[in-house]
Amino acid sequence: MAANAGIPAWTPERFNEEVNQIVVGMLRVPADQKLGYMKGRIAAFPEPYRTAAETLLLQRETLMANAEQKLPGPLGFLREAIQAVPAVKYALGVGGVVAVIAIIGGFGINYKVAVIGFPIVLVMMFLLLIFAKLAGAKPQYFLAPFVILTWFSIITMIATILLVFIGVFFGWPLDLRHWLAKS
Amino acid sequence: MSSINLGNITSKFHEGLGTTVRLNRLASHWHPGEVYTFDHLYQEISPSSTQNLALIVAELVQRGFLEKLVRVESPTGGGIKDFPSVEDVPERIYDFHSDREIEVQPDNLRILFKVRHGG
Repeated sequence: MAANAGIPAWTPERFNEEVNQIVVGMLRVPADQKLGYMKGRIAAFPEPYRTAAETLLLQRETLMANAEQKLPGPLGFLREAIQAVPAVKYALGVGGVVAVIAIIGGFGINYKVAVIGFPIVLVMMFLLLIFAKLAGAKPQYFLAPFVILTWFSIITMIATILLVFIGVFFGWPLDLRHWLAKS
Repeated sequence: MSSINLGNITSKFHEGLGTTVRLNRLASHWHPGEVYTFDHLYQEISPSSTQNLALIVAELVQRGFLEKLVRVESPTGGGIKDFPSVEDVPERIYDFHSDREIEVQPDNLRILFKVRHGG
């Protein structure tokens, strides 16, 4: 396919650009005019690019329609996002932490309890993650971070519990007696 | 369908050896009249992109291995009629599933690929 004066020849790159332009155009066109618009634009494509364009555009429309029909709600959306991009699964963990706060609210327990509990939960989550990693990897790669984090987590946990205990009963380093009692 | 080499099509779109092997394997098991959706072909061939697969399939259609069908589907479910291309699809069509005439929208259309006889 030789290029006419000023008109680039049909290549896969040009095909992708043209299809993208049609996709953008179809988003602007009202629903009842989409088919006509698509037909008009595709008519300018030579074969086999026309068939390829029909395939991609109809495939995209089907996917969009299915997505609209499902409208899965936040949790379903998150599940689909995890399927598409597995790294999104960590968002589920963040959602879990937020859910814990909501549950605490639901139980009628003061959020201040969560303030103390949160770092402890985090430390435990971190330990859980390290254990999960260690189970699936060669130990020599994870031994140093595992040992450091384990000791850090243990010391943090002991320090937090000890300081909260001392703070509540002896008022040092912070007087937590009134802070907790007021709530 | 006997063993065929479609490497010249996949290499045209800079696809790797894996795509060629999977396409050849699939094509060697094709039976005339079999119908594939684009999703099915994508799963079987695992190309580098949907764009490339669309181009590869279009080449297969042009060379007579496959036949393209544009199926108008009822919004209530089920096919209404097949057309050779989008251009041939009418603006309105009688939907015998719901017993009424419907306005055809692009999301009512499904593209299918049928293995040709002696392709």
